[in-house]
Parts: sequence; C-alpha cells; structure tokens
Amino acid sequence: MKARFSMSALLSVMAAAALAADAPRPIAIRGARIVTVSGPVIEKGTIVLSGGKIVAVGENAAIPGVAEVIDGTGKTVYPGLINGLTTLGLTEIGSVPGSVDTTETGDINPQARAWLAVQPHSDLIPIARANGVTVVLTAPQGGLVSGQSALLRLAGTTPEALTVKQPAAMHMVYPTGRPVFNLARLFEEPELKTFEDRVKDRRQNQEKELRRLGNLIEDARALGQRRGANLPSDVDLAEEALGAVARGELPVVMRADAEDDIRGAVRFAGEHGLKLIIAGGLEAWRCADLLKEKDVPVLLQVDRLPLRESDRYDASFTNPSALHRAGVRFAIVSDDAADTRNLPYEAAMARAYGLPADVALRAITLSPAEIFGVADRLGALAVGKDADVFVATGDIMDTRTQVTHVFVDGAPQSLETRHTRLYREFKDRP
Amino acid sequence: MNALFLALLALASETIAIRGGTILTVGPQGTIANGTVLIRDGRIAAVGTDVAVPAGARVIDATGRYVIPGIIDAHSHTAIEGGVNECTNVVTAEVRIADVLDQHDVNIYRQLAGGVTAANVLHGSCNPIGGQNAVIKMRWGKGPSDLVFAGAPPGVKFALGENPKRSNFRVPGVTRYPATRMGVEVVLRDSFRRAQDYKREWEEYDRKVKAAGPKGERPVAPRRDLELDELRDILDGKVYVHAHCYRADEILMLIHLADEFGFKIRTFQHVLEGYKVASEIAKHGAGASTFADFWGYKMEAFDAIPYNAAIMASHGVNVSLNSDDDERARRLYWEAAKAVKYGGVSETEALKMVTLNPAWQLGVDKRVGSIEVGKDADIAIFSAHPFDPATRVEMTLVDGIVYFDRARDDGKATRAAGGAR
Amino acid sequence: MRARPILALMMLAALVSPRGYAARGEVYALVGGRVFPVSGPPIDKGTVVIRDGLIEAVGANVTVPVGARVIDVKGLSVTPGLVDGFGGIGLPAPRPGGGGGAPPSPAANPLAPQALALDRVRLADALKARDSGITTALVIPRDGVLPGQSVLLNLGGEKLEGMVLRQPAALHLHMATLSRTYPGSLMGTVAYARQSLYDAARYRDEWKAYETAARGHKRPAYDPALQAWQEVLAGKELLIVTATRENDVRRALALADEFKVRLAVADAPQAARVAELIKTRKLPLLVSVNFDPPRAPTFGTPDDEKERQDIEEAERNPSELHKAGISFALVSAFAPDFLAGVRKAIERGLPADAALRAVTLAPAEVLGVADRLGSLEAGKIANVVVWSGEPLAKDTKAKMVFVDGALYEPDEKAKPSPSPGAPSPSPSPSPAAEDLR
Repeated sequence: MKARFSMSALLSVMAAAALAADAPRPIAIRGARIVTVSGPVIEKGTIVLSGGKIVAVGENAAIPGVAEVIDGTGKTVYPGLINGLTTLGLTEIGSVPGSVDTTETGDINPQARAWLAVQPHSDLIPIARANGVTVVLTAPQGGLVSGQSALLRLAGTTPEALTVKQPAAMHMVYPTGRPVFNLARLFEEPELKTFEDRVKDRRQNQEKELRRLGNLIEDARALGQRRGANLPSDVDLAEEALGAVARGELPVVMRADAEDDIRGAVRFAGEHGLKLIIAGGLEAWRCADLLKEKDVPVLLQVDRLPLRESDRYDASFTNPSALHRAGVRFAIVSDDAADTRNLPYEAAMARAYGLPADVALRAITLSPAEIFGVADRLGALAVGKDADVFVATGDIMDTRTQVTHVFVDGAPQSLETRHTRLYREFKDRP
Repeated sequence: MNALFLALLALASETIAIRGGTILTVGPQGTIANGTVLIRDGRIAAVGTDVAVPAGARVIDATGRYVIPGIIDAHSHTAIEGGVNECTNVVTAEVRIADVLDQHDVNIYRQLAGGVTAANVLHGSCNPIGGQNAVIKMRWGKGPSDLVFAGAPPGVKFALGENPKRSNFRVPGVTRYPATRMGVEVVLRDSFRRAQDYKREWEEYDRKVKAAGPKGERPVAPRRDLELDELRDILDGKVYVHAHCYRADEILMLIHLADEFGFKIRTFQHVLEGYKVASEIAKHGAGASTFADFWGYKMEAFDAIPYNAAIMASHGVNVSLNSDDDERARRLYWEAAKAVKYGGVSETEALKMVTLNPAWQLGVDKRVGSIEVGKDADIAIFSAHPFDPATRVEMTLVDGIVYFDRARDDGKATRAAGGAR
Repeated sequence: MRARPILALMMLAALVSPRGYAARGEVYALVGGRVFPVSGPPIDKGTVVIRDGLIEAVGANVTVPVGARVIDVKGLSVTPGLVDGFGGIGLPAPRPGGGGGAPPSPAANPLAPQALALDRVRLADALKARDSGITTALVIPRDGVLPGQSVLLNLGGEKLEGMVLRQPAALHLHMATLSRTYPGSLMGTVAYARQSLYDAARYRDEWKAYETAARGHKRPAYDPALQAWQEVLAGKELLIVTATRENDVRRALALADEFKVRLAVADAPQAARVAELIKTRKLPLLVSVNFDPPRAPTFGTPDDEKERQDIEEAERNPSELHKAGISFALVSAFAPDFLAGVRKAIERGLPADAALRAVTLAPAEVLGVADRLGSLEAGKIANVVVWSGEPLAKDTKAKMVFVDGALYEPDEKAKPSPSPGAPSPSPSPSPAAEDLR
C-alpha cells in the first residue's frame, strides 16, 4: 500500500519536474472503465499519464493539479494494442515496388534490418494508430531467412524515434519445398508431373533447404566461437547476424502453417538450439501439445481459411482457443500493414469462437509484449509502464466502437489520417 | 428444368416456424422483438409477434437470437472451376460463369456458416469487357445448374483501371492493348460500335426475312457472334453491366460512355473513389458495391476510405458491401458494422448494405433481401446481434431449407452435404 | 500351280520378318485353351478357328479344319485382342513440360479440328504396344483444346494405311485450357466450342446456298477447321469430349443438347458421381486408367489429403460405375502402363470379367465397330490374344497375338512395352482473380 503511494507520489513529483522541463502535460482520464489487462477491470476509475509513463491507475487515483483532465464517463480505457507481426512502415502500396521494402533479393538475408528501412511518415501509421494500435512488430518477409524485425511505436518522425526494441527477432520461413508464388508464373507452360512425383519433389526441396539453413546456422555458431577465441576471420554480415540466433540470444520467428511444417520447425529449432516462435500457425491446434511441451509461442492471424478442405469450417477461428486450452502462448496478429487497424476484430472472431474475452484482449496487448520481452514496459495499464493508452466509446472488439483518444509515450496523438482528410473533403461535395 | 426443380423443392420443404427471436426484417416491419417467422413452401408466409404456428410445423427456437435476411455478396468468385478470368482476349463477353460453377467448392459451405445465402459470382477483372456473371444461391449439395438463382437478370463484367491495362503484371511474350486508361476507353467504345453494327445487321436480316415471306428465298443469316450477342443485349437494356472500377475519373468516363450509347451501368464494383463522384453515380442510377475498409494494395486503391459507403449512401446511391474474397465473405456481417463506425450509417441501413441493397443491385429484390411475406425464405440466425463482437451464425436457410446448422455440424457434415459423393 | 510361287514368297516373307507370319490364306486353330469370347460366358477347353483374317468359329466342340495350323493352347487363355479406346499409341513421346520461360515452339496447333492423328503416327512405335496384347488402338492427337481427329488402328501389318480401321474415328474436344492464348479458361473453352459449332452450321448453310445457286453470288471462303466440323454437326461423326472433372460430363452433355451431336466422353475419373445422369442419357464412356496423370503444380498450399482422395476416387471410379450398372470402356488415356492401370481398377473392386469386357467389346461399342471387333465371334476380325495365364493378371504375358489373322509372337525377353507415356492434356491454371481486384 504504502509503497504504491510512495511510487505514485514520486512519479507525480517527476511529472511536475517533467512539466517544468517543457515536457507534455500530465494527462488524467477520469471516471472511465479501465481495462488494465494485467489486473481486474476497474469499472470506474482514473488513470494518470506523466513523463511518458503511467503514474497512477485506480478507482481513486490522485490527479496532479497540472494535469489535463479528460472526462472518461461512459468510455473505456485500454492499453495501446500491440500488433505482433506486420510489415507496417516497410510497405506503402503493395503493387508499387518503389514503395515496398519488405523483401530483399535472394534467399538468405539475416543482415537485413527492418527498422533501418521503415518510413516513419507512412500514411498507414496514423491509420493503424487511430484505432488504438500503438506498437507493432515490423518484420521483413520472404526467402528462407528474411531478416531482423523490430518493435516500433506508432509515433515519431525518424526510424530511431519509432524504434522500441531492435532487433526483436530473426525471421525465417520454414521451407515447404513448394515453388514460390509469382503472378507471372501462371502464364508459363507448367511442368507436368504426377502427384507422387510432386510430393517427392517437395520433400527433396524441403530437405535440401533445411540442410542449407542448418549449415548456415552452424557456420554462424562456429564463427562466433572463432571470434571468441580471438582468431582472425572474414567479416560476413550474414554470419554475424545469425550468430546471435545460433547462441539462442535472438529468437527466431519461423513461418509455418501446415502441421508437418510446424513440427519440423520445432524439431529444427531443437537441433540447432534456437529460441523459436511460430508465425502463421494455421494448424498449430493440431500440435498444441508439442508447442506447449517445448514452450513455443505462436503469432496467429485469425481471419484465414482453414488449410484443408476437410477441416471444420471454423478451424482457423477456434485455433486460438484450442491453443489457450492447451496452455500454449500466443498473440493474435494482423500479419499485414494496411489492415493493422482491424487487429481488434481478429481478436473478436477468436472470442466469438470460444476464446474468453479477456484472453482475446490479452492476445493483442500483454501476450505479444511478453513474447517479445517488453512486458515490463508495454501491454498493460499499470504504474511504471509506458503510457501507451487509448480511450474508446465501448468494447474495442466491437466494430461499431469509436476511438476518441490515443496516447503514445504519454503524448496525445492526432486521430487525423489520410482517410479522415479525404472524408472531410468529399462528404459534402454536391 | 429450373421450374421443375423449384416445384420439387417446394414440395420437399418443411413448414418451419422460427420463434422467439429478434427479427431484423430490413423491411417495412422494421425490428420485431420476440417475433416469429413462418416459412411454407420455401417462402416466408408470415412475420410478426402473433403468428399462428400450424400443427406439425418444425419449430426453431430463436429465443435470445437474431433473425436476419440471408446475406447477399454482390462480388464473389467462389465456386468457379477452370479459371476465374478469360485472361487472353480483351473482350470476352461470350464466356459464362454459369458454365463453370463448382458446386463442390467448400467455400460455399463456409460462407453459409457466415450467413451468406446468395452471391453474385463474377468473371475476374482481367479484361475491359469480361464474361457473364452467375447469381447463385448457396444451395450446398445441389448440382451446378441448381445453384443458379433462377430469374436473376443476366449481367456482364466490365473492368477499368490497372487490372485490364496490366499495370501490375506482365504475361511473358505477350503485349496486349490497352496499356492505359485511354486504351480502356477505346476498347469499350470500339466494342459498342461493333455492337451497334451487329444490331443493325441483324435488324436488316430480320427485315429481309419478313419481306421475303414464308416462301421467299431466305438469305443466309449473319454470323451469330456470342460476344456481340451480349453487347447488343447490353445496348438493349436486357443485360446488366457490373463494372469493376476504382478512380473517380474512370467512373465518370464509363457513365459518359454509357449515356452516349444509351445504356445503364447497373453496379460499379469496388468503386473505391465513388465518394468523390457520388452525385454523378446517383444521377446515373447505378448501384455501388464496395469494400468496407479494404484499401491501399494498388495505386488506384490508395485514396480509398472506409467512409466510402457512408458518403455514397448519403448522396442517394444504393450501396452494398461485398467481399471479393472467400475469407472475407464469411464475415460480411461485421463488414457491414464498419459502415456504422465510419460515417455513422444507422445500423439498419448498414445491415441493408449486405441484404436488401445487393438484392436490388442484382435485380432480385422482389425475391430476397428482407424478411417479408412472399419473399424466399433465405434467412440467417445469429447468436447475438450481427454486429455484436461475440456473435456467431447458428443456422442458415435457403428457400426454407436448413443448409447450415452449427449444432449439427461435425466437420464431416460438409462432405456429406456437399455434392453427390 | 499358282500356289508354289506364292508359297515361296510366303517363305521368303517368313525369313524376312522374324516375328510376323503372312496372314493371307492361313488357317489357324487354337485348341484346348480357356476361351473368353466376352460376348458369352468363358469356355473351358475351347477352340478358336481363324481363317483369312477373320474368326471362323469359336466353341467347345468346333471341328478343326483340314490344313489348319493347330496350336495347342492347353493351360493358356484366349481372349479377343485388347482395345485401347483412347490413347497415344504410336505418337512420338511428349516434350518435357515447360517449367518456365518462353514456351517451346508449338508442335501442333491447339485449335485445329482438322488435324489428323494419322499424320503423326509412327508405325514402329505403334506396333510395340502389340506385345502387351493390345491389337487395336484409338490414337488421339494429344495436345490442345481441339487437337483434331483420331484414327482407329489395328496394330498389325507392314504399312500404316493397312492398319486403319476407321479414319477419321472421332473429332476431339479436350475440356482443357491454353496458357497464353484463347481459350485460357474453362468457360472460354466452352464458349469457343459453342462459337465453333455455330460457325460450322453457318458455314454449312453458306456453302449449301452457294451450291444451290452459285451464279450471281460471291463464293464463301474455305475454312479447313469449319469443314472438319461438318460430319460431327451432321451427327455422323462421333464427338469425343475429354472430361477431367465431374462437371465436364455435364458440359459435354449440354453441348450435345445444344447442337444435337453424337457424343462420347473420355477420361471421366469422376463419372461415378453422375452415374444416374450417364445412365439416363446412355452416354458412352471411355474411362481412363491413368489415375495419377502428370499435372501442373498448384501454387496455393496444396491439400495433399484431397489430392490423394481424388486419386483414390479415380481408382474406384470403374468399380462404382459397374455397380451402378453402367457399361463403359477402360482406356489408357496416355497412362504409361495400360494394363497396370486396368489391374488397379480390378484391385479397387472392378470384377475381372467386367474389366475384360471394358478393354474389348465395350470400347468397340463406344467407337461403333462392335459389329466387327471386340469379341471372339464368327465373322469378326481375327484379333486374338493367347495369354500365359489368367487374362489381365499381374504376371500373365501375351504369348501370341493375332491381328487381322496374322500371328505375332512377342519377344519373350523384352518386357511388354507400355504405351508411350504422354501426359494427358490437363487444364492449365489461369490467373487468380484474387490478384486482379
């Protein structure tokens, strides 16, 4: 009790000091329903943001005199949503190559670092933010090893200002053995093969790629050891980048959807000592026990079609609740850029199909924070955490809800977007 | 053949009473709390709070549930086999989706599970003038010709903008006109000139035949051209035009062209910049079928805003929200809710955008789109309000037959129900 | 008197052709074998008499004619020569698939109903099939949508012309697509076929009008493709539609209804699904035993489970059709090993006797030559096979093959050579609409 009061008091003092130093004013949202995520819902309470942090949250939190007070009556306050897998900032218009930096040439790009190529002025960022998303994981795509991702806050004018944590993970694609899709290939003369041959080809390709990937990782591990022994070595950016992965210091997000591929990824990670996170995970429910046993978290997109024709129609919707029941850690992600704002509705679909509502919300707040090791700062409304907060007119998972305020690091964010501007410009055109 | 099928269907269907739910009729009766929908012979026989339930009727308890008209997806490529696009010639009005319906596409069932009862299955957007669409009902388990919504007016797909001009892909070894929006207009103009010539040619032939009389020498008829047949029928107002388009200027171009040749565009599809020219669309009398908030994937989709539906609707345009995607088609009820969020469309109007409005756009609003006496019993039953974040579709009926029942779906039902396996 | 030079010639011919014996005048009696006439029940210890290229007699108590060359076939079985009613016997092996880049220069126009398979048959290749007991083959042009017209060949003799049983045998339409030119989609193929038939009808009318009153009228243009359609349009030539999917059967029937053409359907791995329709319409069927034909890879996540099920369904298809009481032929449809495919169908439930009929009399019926081929009956062409054991069983080999009454003995050392493994024309993928919003 006393400790908390002292903490609050301390932070209030800090807040005042911060104010003096021309920092944003403290903000208090009063009389609102506060969904802390890390604790029970506060039906009617106050939250105070100051100096970029949450300094108070509770039924009777004290409001500093200098604070700007927002009346939260009838509203709900949430932690800023965290979208655990996107290409936000790396892509503007998918069909315009000049605006897309998601996928480097070649299969092996561990040295590609997403946060150095992010466009802070992307029109997509305010649009995501306006619906309550305040932090995203932005990751490169493609090939076998796509590159390194970072956690980004959706406010800032430079890539450095955006970056919350880099690197967050190394991104890889579990080889499926299938040819990579490419629109132009649809018009080529296809090579005709029997089913059995195609299955064999796929398997052979897959094995070849796995060997390749495995060798890369082991070479990187060996390089690291040589370095450790102070022996001269050639600088190889790719090997350096994989070194942290080989040592288990940097987690690997590996994309795998089919059950066999997920099991293969877990096996591969075990063989090479990797700290594994699965992205995609469409059939994760089929190997939930394995994922639980090996403590492999999953980044799930919910709005997908089931993999197999014979799957139950709602297999992708019930995927999260199946993992939840098995005790597997997971986050719900949009795996997109322009669609990031719809993150809460992916969570809603999981909830409609069996995931408890609080777990669904956690899957887009605290769970991704935990998976990427920033739960001490983000993902919940608790004293000491970063002041990433938004206010909504109701349940954020309800499509009809409006977001009225967004704060990133305690700074109020404009809800103006490209879309609201065009709306205003044309809504009354005769 | 279809008439026989429908007659047999009528004999086969049960009398059903859906009782005790909140009925969102989308019709003049509005919302009815604790109401009953009585279904007989595949049609809605009665709707209200004091509807008598005949003895022997199957009673579906809808207490605590929401009963809405079946959702209609005005832009779909579900259930097509052998290719969605005839992506070779520039004008392919002769090809017919109805020839290639795939009744085994499991997405029909998945969409039933999302409350969809009918869909406008379109040719793709590869050509300025594509092929003939097929309006279908999601009669999972029936043969391909039995999927067709009998009586739905025929239509042809047009496409403007980046796709027909191949901005974003190349076919190796193939150079195809048009490469610009200018060329798209040329193709359309040329096509309708040819259609006018064709029309004249046949009119002249008909005159000659008449003049020759029953015993006279019959001239050889002009070449029957399956492509020009459709274009002529568009000129004669017998065939709808569903035009995929994005940019405001190309929307205006098509309106002017249609006006010049004397035909109407029935719907603009996607029409993501429709909000910029909403009055013009309204004046022409076309409907607009758009995305709730899918945007940004192409240059021409970059000015798309989620307020598109609201702005067009406020200017008097009949607006529907569609999927163009098997995955999105399963959650059109939440897509509709986005019209409430973006632009403040009322919940009733928003629901109309996935029921009665697409029904009108497809020319079947006398038959479906609302829960009104005399209409087909195409109905979806939800566990909560369709816009509620916890809602789920529990049952879907088409022509008064239960094609989806969540309580009875065991995963294998999809196989058993689907097709003659 | 006259006989002697002829005899000398025959002996000379015998020296020159190590495997074949001159047919003319020869009389054979195959005695004491298990005889499967197909048109009737099997006969234990039966006799088959062949004279002058035709079957003279078949039965349990047939008198062996004087001067006949008697062949003791005790312990062996005797069947009609096998008929592959739809395949690529004698055609050059396929070029390997594209696999990217520019297409190989087209070997044949994919839209050429006037093309003749006969022009491309290689005699030596065709005769190899005989070693497995195949005596008659419908050779169809392989690639394209309208690949041309097939020829029905008897696999024996020195010259190709002498092998022809019917030319053209049928006109073919594959429910397939082209990768870069029209038709690139299945609906395009249907439209193309319909437009072709409308054009063919008009061509007929134009020429008829011109022939009736040429003077004063401009003559119509000659069009080889439209000319090729005429016999089909008149209902005189068979149109064989290759159906890969269930609905291809429906599409074929719709075409037949619209244009009143004589129809047979080939391949049809999912025919059992529309058994009732096939029965009602009495649709002649040439069912493929090529259960896992080479196909293009799909880009989407493959549903291996489904594809395996589809293959299994194809394997059970013949047995299901049989259960439904439908008569059908079994054909290679370019399978690398025709008989292995037939054995697979038997393994999956098709009774052996039905299988035998499906590769003898049934294809003859579909192709309209049942009055002269396909069973061991007096008066029919002497296409006869003597087998080392139960016909169609795994280790059974063809020991003697008679074609048009000429005896051929397959090389014991050589493996029975399979029919050329040409890929079936399978649908090429079209761009996904999802990418063309």
